[in-house]
Amino acid sequence: MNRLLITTLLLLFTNPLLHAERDSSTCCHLMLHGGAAYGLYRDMGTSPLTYRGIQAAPGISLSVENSQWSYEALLLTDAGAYGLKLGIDYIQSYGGHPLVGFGIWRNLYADSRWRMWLGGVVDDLFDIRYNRSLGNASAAFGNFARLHVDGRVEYRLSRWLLHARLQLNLLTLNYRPGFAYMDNFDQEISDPTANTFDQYRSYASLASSAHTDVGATYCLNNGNKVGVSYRWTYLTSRTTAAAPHLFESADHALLFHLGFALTDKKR
Amino acid sequence: MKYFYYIVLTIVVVCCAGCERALMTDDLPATAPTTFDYLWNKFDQQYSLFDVKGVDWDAVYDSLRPKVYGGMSADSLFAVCATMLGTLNDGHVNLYAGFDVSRADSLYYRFYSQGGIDVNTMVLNYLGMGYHSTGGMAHTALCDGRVLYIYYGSFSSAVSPSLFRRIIQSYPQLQGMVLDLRGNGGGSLSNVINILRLMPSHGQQLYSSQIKSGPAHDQFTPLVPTYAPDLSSDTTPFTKPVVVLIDRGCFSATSVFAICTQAYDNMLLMGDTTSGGLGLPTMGYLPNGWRYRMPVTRTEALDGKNYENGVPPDILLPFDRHLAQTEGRDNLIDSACSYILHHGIN
Repeated sequence: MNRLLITTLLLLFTNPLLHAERDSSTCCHLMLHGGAAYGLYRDMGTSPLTYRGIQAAPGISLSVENSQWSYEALLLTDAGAYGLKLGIDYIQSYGGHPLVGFGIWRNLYADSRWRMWLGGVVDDLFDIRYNRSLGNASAAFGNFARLHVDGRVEYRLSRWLLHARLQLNLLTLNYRPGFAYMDNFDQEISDPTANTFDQYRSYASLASSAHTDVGATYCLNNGNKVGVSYRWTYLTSRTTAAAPHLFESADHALLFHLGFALTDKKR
Repeated sequence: MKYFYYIVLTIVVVCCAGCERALMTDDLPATAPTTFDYLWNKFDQQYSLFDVKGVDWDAVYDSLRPKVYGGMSADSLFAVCATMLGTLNDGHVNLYAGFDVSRADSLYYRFYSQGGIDVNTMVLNYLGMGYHSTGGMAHTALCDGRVLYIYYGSFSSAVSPSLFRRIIQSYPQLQGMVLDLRGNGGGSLSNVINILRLMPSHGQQLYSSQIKSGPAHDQFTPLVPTYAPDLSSDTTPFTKPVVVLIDRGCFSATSVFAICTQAYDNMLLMGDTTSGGLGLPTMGYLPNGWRYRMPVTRTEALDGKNYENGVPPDILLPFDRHLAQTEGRDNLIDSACSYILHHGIN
């Protein structure tokens, strides 16, 4: 069964890429991303309060595109410090959120200036939160395996390419702390690693995240490109009753992009 | 028409960027009634020991809620909340404000009023000058080197199996060990396990535990057994008698260690009943930024009993403070040595 699944995934992902490489209009870019974000989150398992903070957001991706299809494999992460002040108490926490994903888009419309893409993205977001003042609840992990529908519109203006993107989540498989919310259940004794997650729970949710992006990219003569964009992401467990505790986060990021052309074709 | 799509999508993107304001509700107000109700509800849903403590949580709410009103001072609110949590008489329950910390006071008074050790006597007349200190354990040999005496004051002091093995190997003539845990208020369970890694293991069960899985007072995961840890590598188990001294000052991880002795044939508890504390605590914040701590698990000993309120000794022997103060003798250490040398444990 696993072999069948792996074969299917390989065919699904590699065949279009191979096909793309044969297409004379194919261009391939290695993209480096970096920037800063303002993030906020609330995890009702340990606090009814909203944390706010600053995040750094580096990432790398590989994009392949021809006149019909566009593909992207990406590895993004952000990490930051959050805090809030209440009276004389200052609450501080830290977080990191690596994400791996793959997206595929079909070109729906194109002319000399306009292109519209519609596709899907699968990704996996691993969420780590740490607040040292919370004893056995100091560390909280969350894993979100997600499937999204993703649309993008591009407008070419001389060497500039403007884009706007909207990604809406269809299905998420969540893995989060259970009702008791504790990261140190005493089964650590027989197996410390496994039992850190012993009381965690898995559940599915629909439409639990959104992602928007607007930006501009400048295409250089040699096929490389530089760009800037504003990204907003939102994640919530409000859309499912199965979540033991409400969790939601949002961030606003200003990102800079460097794209290195891996093919001769210029855009 | 072409421009229409771009404009619409751009508008959608820009509008969405502020959507969390609409989607994420505001924080709860940090008022006294909201804070009190939030704290009561959190405990109502997550605290794991209402039945063991014999507390009617609804009645507690009914009696204290009228004392809470909007605009009351932080000190007054803290006093009411601390009174509410104090009804649980649980050493793992605390309320932390920037200006104060609530405790289970009755438990602490019991620690000190029934203290089972005189540290001066123990240090001056048993550990003596030139005792050794390894991994938080103070140790020396008593009875002409035949009994290893170890005083371990806190399970927060890290002790590794290799350090513990080194201690044992330093005393080659041993006939047994006195492990003095009196006044040990607990710490990390890892250190419990590190000590047990040198005790005879055949995969026996130590205890079983469960964790809250829902808001009802009796909603728990099934009991999950915990087994004796494997022997530390390159180690022969310490099979000689071990007398563990306990008293009312023993709490939390120390009580866990105490119930684990049921699973070892060569270990015996002597002294007074511990103060319990077998539930593992989690923590969280309140709407006004204060923190709370409460147990969310429960533990059942090998004999099927819940010793949350105290683990009894196998040999009940109250500490003789008069003897300590007049003759400088610790009747528990003396009895433990005598037991090892003259009776053995089996």
